[in-house]
Amino acid sequence: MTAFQLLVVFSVVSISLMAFLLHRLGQSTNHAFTDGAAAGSVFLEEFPDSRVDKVALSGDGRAAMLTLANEPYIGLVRAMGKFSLARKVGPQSVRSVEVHETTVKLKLRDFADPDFSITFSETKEAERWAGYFGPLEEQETHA
Amino acid sequence: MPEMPDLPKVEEFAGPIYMVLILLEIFLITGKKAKGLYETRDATVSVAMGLGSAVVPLLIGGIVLAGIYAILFWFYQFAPVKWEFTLWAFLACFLLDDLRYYWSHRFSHTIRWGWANHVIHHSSQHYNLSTALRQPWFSFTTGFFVLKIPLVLLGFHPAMIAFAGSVNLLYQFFIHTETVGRMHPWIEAVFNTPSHHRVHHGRNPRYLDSNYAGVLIIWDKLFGTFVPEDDTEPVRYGIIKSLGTFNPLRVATHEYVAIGQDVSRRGLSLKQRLAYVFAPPGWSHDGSRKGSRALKADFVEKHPELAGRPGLPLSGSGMMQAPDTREATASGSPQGTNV
Repeated sequence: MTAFQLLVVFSVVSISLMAFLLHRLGQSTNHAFTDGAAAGSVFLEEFPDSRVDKVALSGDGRAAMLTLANEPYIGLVRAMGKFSLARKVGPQSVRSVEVHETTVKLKLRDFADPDFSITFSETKEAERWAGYFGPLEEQETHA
Repeated sequence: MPEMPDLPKVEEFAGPIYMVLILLEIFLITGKKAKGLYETRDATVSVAMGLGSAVVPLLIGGIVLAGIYAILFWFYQFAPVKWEFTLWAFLACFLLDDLRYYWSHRFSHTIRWGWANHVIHHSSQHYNLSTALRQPWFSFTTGFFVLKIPLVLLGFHPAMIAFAGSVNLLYQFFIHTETVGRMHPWIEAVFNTPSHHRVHHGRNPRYLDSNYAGVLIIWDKLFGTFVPEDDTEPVRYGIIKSLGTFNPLRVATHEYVAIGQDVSRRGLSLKQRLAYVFAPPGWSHDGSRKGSRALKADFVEKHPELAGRPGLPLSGSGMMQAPDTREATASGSPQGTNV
């Protein structure tokens, strides 16, 4: 076995070991927003010039969709491990919208952020939020 | 031509050291004995990117790497003096290579083509020893190897320069941590430390584009890019527009994709297309994005009491403020540099 092959094998084993260890130590779970206001403040940290109108938090508290005052965009906030990610999207930023029962799934045009998924407690709420990105009959629904 | 001794390959013995120290840091942090954060997917991607940075250049850039080495050797023949490998020669080479690293690193932040490669290293919101291994895969494409030509012409063998660079990168592994606060004042004054490098990884406006040093922080002090860590403003790590993916391929290539999307826009002049590749990150033909300078000015506009503090301009954005068109960047490239 060459030194290079040894390096690759060692690295793969090490990465697996580290991932297993971190998982067992409880470092894999996404954080949850305590309420809609917490998700809103995360959004405003990224977009301080915006004004949040309404916040809809997912059932598990790990994602939220926001309407913004005087802006034709929807705010998306989600937990990324222990941190959060906020985006502003309009219909042109979205490749497709799917509603699966209470879940809204967005395919985004952003190569570095291709998917967003949020699960609400009611199908109607999911459909209402999906509707911001265009008429629902043009989207795929699996309610 | 002086004979070079068989210099150790740092990357071959460094791997186990890296992994032992990462495991130690994980235990210290999760045992609440040290400051810091780890997240499974983030750390896994970081170390996987490190593996990719060793493998990908050999798989797809072998010819380019060989060509770069050949070019450096070609220039070496013109060196009026050729230094034997002695301690003093190596120290001189290391010092000058550290200066070379400073400028190479600075260009990696201020030229988008370099940033597309280097952004990978800054793409985590975490800052721990695994972040040090989150290395780019396409460094052989940046062209920044030309900065080594002056060292070669000064008589330093390309192998000696490569070894100095390896030692430099080995040193930098140890400064990617929150577990070490501040070190002795004279160390902080001369060397790049965890504190100085935390600032470099910050995306707070005041910390943007600062502390490019490899080993010696004196270069930042000399060239006006030094910003000390401010305890009143904790560092927020990462890039202006954080990534929404843990997919290593997307992490490695996302800024190249963004450049491709920008360059292929309709209705741009050749100059504008070239600027999308070589202008500072955040440049846009219609002024709809913001680079680090504009972000700093915006910050001072909102916090005039902080004007002139290290890392911040004396006045706010005022008339230069671009309209808030963040949506334009939501599906494109970052609106600013990192970090």
